[in-house]
Amino acid sequence: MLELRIAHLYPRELNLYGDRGNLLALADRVRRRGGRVTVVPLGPGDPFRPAEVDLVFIGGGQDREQRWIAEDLARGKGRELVAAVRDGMPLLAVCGGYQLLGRYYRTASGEKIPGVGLFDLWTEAGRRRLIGDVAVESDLWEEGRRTLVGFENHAGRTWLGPGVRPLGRVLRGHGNNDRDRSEGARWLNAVGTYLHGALLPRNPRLSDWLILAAWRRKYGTERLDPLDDRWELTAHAAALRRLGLAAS
Amino acid sequence: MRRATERLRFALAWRLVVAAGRLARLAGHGGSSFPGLLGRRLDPRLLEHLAGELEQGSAVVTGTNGKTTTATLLAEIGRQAGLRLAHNAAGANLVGGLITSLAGQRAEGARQFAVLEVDEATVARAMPAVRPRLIVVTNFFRDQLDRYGELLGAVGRVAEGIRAVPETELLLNADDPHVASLARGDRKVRFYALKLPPGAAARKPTGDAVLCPRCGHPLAYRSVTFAHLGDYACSACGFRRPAPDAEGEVLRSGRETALRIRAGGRQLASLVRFQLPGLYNAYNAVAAAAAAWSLGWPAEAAARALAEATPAFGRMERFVAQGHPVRLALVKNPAGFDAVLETLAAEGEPGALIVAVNDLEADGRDVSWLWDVRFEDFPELLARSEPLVASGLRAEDMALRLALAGVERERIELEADPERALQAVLARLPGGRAVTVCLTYTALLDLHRRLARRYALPAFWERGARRGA
Repeated sequence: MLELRIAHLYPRELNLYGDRGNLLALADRVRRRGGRVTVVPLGPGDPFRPAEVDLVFIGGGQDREQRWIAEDLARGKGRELVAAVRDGMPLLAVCGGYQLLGRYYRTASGEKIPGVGLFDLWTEAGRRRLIGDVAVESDLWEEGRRTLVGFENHAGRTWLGPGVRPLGRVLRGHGNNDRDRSEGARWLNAVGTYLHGALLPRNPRLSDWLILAAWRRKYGTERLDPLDDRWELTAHAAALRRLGLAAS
Repeated sequence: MRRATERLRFALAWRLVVAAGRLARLAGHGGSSFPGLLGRRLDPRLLEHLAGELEQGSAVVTGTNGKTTTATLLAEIGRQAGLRLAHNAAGANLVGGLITSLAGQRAEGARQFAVLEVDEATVARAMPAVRPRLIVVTNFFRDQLDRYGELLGAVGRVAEGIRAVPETELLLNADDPHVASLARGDRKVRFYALKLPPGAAARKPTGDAVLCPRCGHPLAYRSVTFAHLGDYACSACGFRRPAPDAEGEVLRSGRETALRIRAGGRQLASLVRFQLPGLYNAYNAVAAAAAAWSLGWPAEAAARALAEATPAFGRMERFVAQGHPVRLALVKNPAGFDAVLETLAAEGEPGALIVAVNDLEADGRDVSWLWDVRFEDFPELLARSEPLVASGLRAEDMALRLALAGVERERIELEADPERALQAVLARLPGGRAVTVCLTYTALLDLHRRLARRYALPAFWERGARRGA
């Protein structure tokens, strides 16, 4: 039986804005394909064992929680995450988790929280929070429905270095820094983004991109069977419509 | 109000609000803010003047969940104690609504006391004017985070309101770490808490308050009553749940609740049975009883008022339509929605279920909180609810939420307009089957207004006023 083992990093500390919806979406798509999902919650102090995991998810949190998590990541877990991603493991990081996987995060009070350096990017808190619905045209695909939709709410402005590519180009909303129209970052099979919403339920193509990356590495899977995505696509189209964009 | 001109301006502004409120009511508008804001243009210190005129002062209830029920219960206790008091109706908890309620009910004779539910974002602005005798803080759940930035922002705003009125006493929920952290050394502070029967407290806390509000280290829980509420301690700085001054012991919880309440070392009520379901209402009852005790009101009034309590507006309002029992339930955040689902599941026969989600300012523009509602934990309820309709401005998101909770995709129906959804369900539902409609705030307000005439529902904004007179 096909299996997807998801390491959920800091589920108690980083769980803002319905990020658990991302796990529900992954689990639903694996189950409907006859597979089985195991979620391994990893809290502070728990060891990360890459051999027991096929995919990593890390959500968003508040500043206070991030500081605490940064300390835990610095105690070796961060290095192991980088090694696993370098080895091809897919990873999804949202908002606070995305920031923590960069080089550093400078808070509004000027404190510099060191990051893991998995993504070549850095983040500095801005004065105004960037809040609202977002639509992105993603570079993960060259054809078909390339849009991603979500909801952003972050004070940090993220700047990408040469070692990562953006996840996509902002069509509506603010994105990484409200300046260069970039949203999120991608390195190998790791994706970082500011999109909550939750992100994956309304973007089934991204869920499948992550699942396929995991199963290609694990089973040599070449393609996934299509699913009945009527409600996923209805919600995706409604989000685009609300932003004044035609559904593709 | 020393000067004659000031008195005159107050009297004029007060009557203007009363008149505008009556007009708005005649015109069929539920909006309660406008008359108050109008009056404030004439007398900028109108809220301060109205509150200052109350013979025995006021009590304010704030927090993210349970403030309407807690304030309604406290107002009932006050009435049982013989006070002629004002009480703002559900939702009239911003500055404009406070003025409208106080002015309108003063005109009907409520001049002794006021029980005011105040939105947590409004506390900082309203407290310097209201200067209540007591502030009750119920809890901080994740509620409309996008409006406040983050949860801690809401805590900070309430703290700011408390700092502004150093003479005001505090009644705090000891079981919520963020609420307990509001205690200050400069004044009288009392704590209330809930005690579960032994063995019932083995749940895991949810994420809202995992870290110590004092030092940021993780909190350890000895027991959990509900969500992140319980008996906690910080290993790093020693912050822990304060010993409660008032405590409710849950003897039974389900469709009705039985409680024993102790305060100040003596029995306040030996056995209170009330109709409000769920542990969250046990908290509301203890908060109200403890507030009444803090204010020095007689214990019998509390026991009597709690025993007669019926659900506050929208927290399960019932009526009969075309032979079907219909129920409207307000849902606005994960903890509240979970509580509604728990209540429905405990009842057994679910009938039809309509969920209407809006994303206007008062609902919160971000609906991602729907993913934190634990629909997955109620598979039987979802399987037996028939039909199952997603509605509201965000009907598509709600439909997807149900699909990913394991509801078969063919069974989910979509109708953006809640009234049309309800009428369609009523038209084809087998006789006598119940309909439950869960709605976010603006969807509830709108549906209630549209149904009010048809089914002779009391206009909700009149309730507090009528009973307060």
